Amino acid sequence: MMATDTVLEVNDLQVSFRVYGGKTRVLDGVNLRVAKGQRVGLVGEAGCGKTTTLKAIMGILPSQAVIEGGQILFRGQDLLKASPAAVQSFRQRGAAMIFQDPTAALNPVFTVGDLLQVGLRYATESRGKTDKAHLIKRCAETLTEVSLPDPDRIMKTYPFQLSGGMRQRVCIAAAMTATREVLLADEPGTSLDVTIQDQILRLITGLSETKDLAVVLVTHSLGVVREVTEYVYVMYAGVIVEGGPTAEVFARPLHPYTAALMECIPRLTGQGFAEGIPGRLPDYRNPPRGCRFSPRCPQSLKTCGEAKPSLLDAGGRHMVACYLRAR
Amino acid sequence: MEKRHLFGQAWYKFSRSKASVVGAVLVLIVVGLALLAPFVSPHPEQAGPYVDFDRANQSPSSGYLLGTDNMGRDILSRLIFALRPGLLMGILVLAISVPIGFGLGLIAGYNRGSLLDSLIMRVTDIFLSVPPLILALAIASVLEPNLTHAMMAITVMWWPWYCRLAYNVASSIKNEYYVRYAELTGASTFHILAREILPNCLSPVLTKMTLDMGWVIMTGASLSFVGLGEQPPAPDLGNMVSAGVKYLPDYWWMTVFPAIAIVVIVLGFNLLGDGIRDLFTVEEA
Amino acid sequence: MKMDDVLKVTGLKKYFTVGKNVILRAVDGVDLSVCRGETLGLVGESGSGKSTVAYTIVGMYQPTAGTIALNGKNVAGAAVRRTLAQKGAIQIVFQDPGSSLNPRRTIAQSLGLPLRLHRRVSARDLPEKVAELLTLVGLPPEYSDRNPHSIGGGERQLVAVARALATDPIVMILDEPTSALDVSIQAKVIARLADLQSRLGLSYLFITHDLSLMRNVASRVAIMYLGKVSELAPTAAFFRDPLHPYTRMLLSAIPVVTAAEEELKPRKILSKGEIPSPVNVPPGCGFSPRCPEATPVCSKVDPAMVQTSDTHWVRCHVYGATGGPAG
Repeated sequence: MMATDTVLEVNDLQVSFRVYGGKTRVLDGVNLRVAKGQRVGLVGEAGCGKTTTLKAIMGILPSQAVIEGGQILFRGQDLLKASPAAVQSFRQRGAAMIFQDPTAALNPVFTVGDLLQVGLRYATESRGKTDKAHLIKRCAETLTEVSLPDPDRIMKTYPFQLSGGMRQRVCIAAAMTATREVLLADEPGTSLDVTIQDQILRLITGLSETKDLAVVLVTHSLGVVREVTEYVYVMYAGVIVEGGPTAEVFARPLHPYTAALMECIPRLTGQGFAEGIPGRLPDYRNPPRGCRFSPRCPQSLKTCGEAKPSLLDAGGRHMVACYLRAR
Repeated sequence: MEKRHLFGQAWYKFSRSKASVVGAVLVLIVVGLALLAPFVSPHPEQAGPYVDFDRANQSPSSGYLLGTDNMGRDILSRLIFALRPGLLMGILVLAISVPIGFGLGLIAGYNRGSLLDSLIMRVTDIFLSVPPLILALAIASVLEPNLTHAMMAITVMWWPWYCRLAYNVASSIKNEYYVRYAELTGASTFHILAREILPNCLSPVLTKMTLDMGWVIMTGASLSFVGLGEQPPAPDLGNMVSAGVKYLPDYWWMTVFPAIAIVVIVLGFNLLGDGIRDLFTVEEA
Repeated sequence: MKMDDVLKVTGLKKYFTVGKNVILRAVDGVDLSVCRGETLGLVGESGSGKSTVAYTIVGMYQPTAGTIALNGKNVAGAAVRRTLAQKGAIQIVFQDPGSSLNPRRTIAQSLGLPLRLHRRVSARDLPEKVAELLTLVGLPPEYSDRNPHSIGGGERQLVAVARALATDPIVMILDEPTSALDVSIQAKVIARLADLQSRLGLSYLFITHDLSLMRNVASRVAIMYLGKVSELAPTAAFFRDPLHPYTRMLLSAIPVVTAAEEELKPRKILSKGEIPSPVNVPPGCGFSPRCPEATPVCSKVDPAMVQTSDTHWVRCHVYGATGGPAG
């Protein structure tokens, strides 16, 4: 269906967590596809499973997680079935992840230079010995690429000496030292001020354009998605409920959840906003049998509660998992 | 779901670590043996003043599973009875030193930066700066050597650790928004300390108490090893080890078995303490 | 002074001493007023001093200078010096729903504190009053026996609101009450707050960094930078006609979801630099190092507030009377 340029593909991923009294079926069929150099948004509210999806892709799920099914394909290779060496290689050279809180992501006892060199060293290790001078030069270059002034000085500083925005840039630099194909960004601007978030998002967009870097941007802010991404997936309770070109999804949201979510966003025009979506997230221990949104959906039909709708083509790369649109 | 399954949930969290379960089992065994000492030891009368030189220094055999000591007494029975003063010391020392130390630390932590804080914490620092065993030895040797005085000596050196722990936890909790709210709305200091801060300090304290049981017992054994605790003929882990030291390596069982018992006790409480700490940890999703 | 100002802050300053001879000027001369029944919005990024203003008003800090007039009577001072009635009259809802309620106490216990202290509710009547409060904020009375961690973030915030209402306050300070919440939950909480305001005649000081939200909840907006108010205007004027360069920079940076809103935003001002630390306030106008319209006088003289219309004030040399800063 998509161009053959697909770098990362997730098919029907199902992940559960072992808890007291059974399992929580957190992800129940996640489907997404990222092409080379494409910026894709993964948007959803807290608890919908977006971070779990990213962690599953990187292979850093906690010990109580169980992958029940599905595939994660990187350049055609299924990471869930690949050897540990292949997965390591993926983490060193294939993809990198940046997190919401840059302070927590940087080891406070290492200087920025140390942090950057470690990642680069692991990425280039198998390609023969690289001398230290070359490593340092490459790290300084990366710092310049993320618009940090005076890289040599920054290499010698510790994370606590930098501001939040600069720390996030360091995290991005660490992800960029070695050439990678995919950047997984988990709410990269959320803990930063609006003006700084704007700078970080522009940086990510710029890097994606110049280096043909595919980006999966996870966020709960639809505004951010609209500014940065070209394609967006909407997630609810562990399921992808809608996917499509960003402009298209915003202009015509097909899934009732997407539409309801849009209604709740305060508008700069001042026209007020809806009073929220009635109901709550489902209990993952006992999720609804059919569509997970059906208990809260104002337009739900009988079939909605019986069988899970799959993602259907609604034309123009726009997909939706909803029986209402199937007719 | 909440209240009914509280124990079930606690057990689930606790049992995720096999080591913690092992610890719990060991502690249960030790406590069980201590409580039921007269009924489970093969020769309970030999745990007191008893002499049978015919049977002295026998290596482990069917009737005397861990051998006999130089007075002909069954080591196994004496060992089981020796658990009693050990556990008693652990319980009493903690029962006294923890409330005192914790209470002082709570007050000092809440009033961090004030004169009261300095007063309390500097006194604590003084106690902490003396090597613990030396302090206990000094106190115990001034008083007549017996179990009670050993307990007093250990209590005196133990409370500062809880004071410091409570101080650290309380001074960070006092910045939490719910504490600030209570202050802003006019709650009394007692309410803030007892109802808002204290319940949130419990988890590190309870964890430390569990771990400390083992260490107090070991400190008590150290004191009685040098003759400053329970006096013979009453059996005590420390004095059993010291009595057997001069018979090494020939009659090794006199020393080795009590020593192993000490190791097992400390290990058991340590592992249990890890489990208790896990119980209080809220896991990230 | 308008007769129905419930809260009037004049010349408020709060300095902190952090280390030898180093002063952090968190709040450096702030004038605000809140009329009965209105919502005054206070906007700012981190380091602007908006939270310090809130905390000083509510009594957490002793002001370094200035007055805080509650219904005409000056209550400036740390809470310990205020009467019980005054403490109850100004209430605050904090930003973080995770730590604003004691995790080891039930909701009934948390709500019971102000009820017992301020309204002298006896132990016998307590359950009934707690249930009343919960119903007032739209929560089921069964929540009385629950612990905060067993309910969602939005619900916890509503409990915090209920707790603030327990003392029958006149003014409520809402410090980023929904920043940590998802959009749909935020919508619910805001709707509830609006409902309570109209029913109980409350006055709100609403602090947030989310300008789109501000557009929909506030009747007047003040924006702060480095401890001072840089612009103050009725909401419509503030958004339609932002005067201060910082306001324009901020507005141009926010991510929005529709093209209509995009039109409303000022021309994109690429934000550069970051807000300096309040320990190191630049000479002259605090914003001058980052300001795209800075003139030589800006880095020498700190501008005073200028009234550009009946209701619009701005602190900027661009609007000062010719020949220097206006009075």
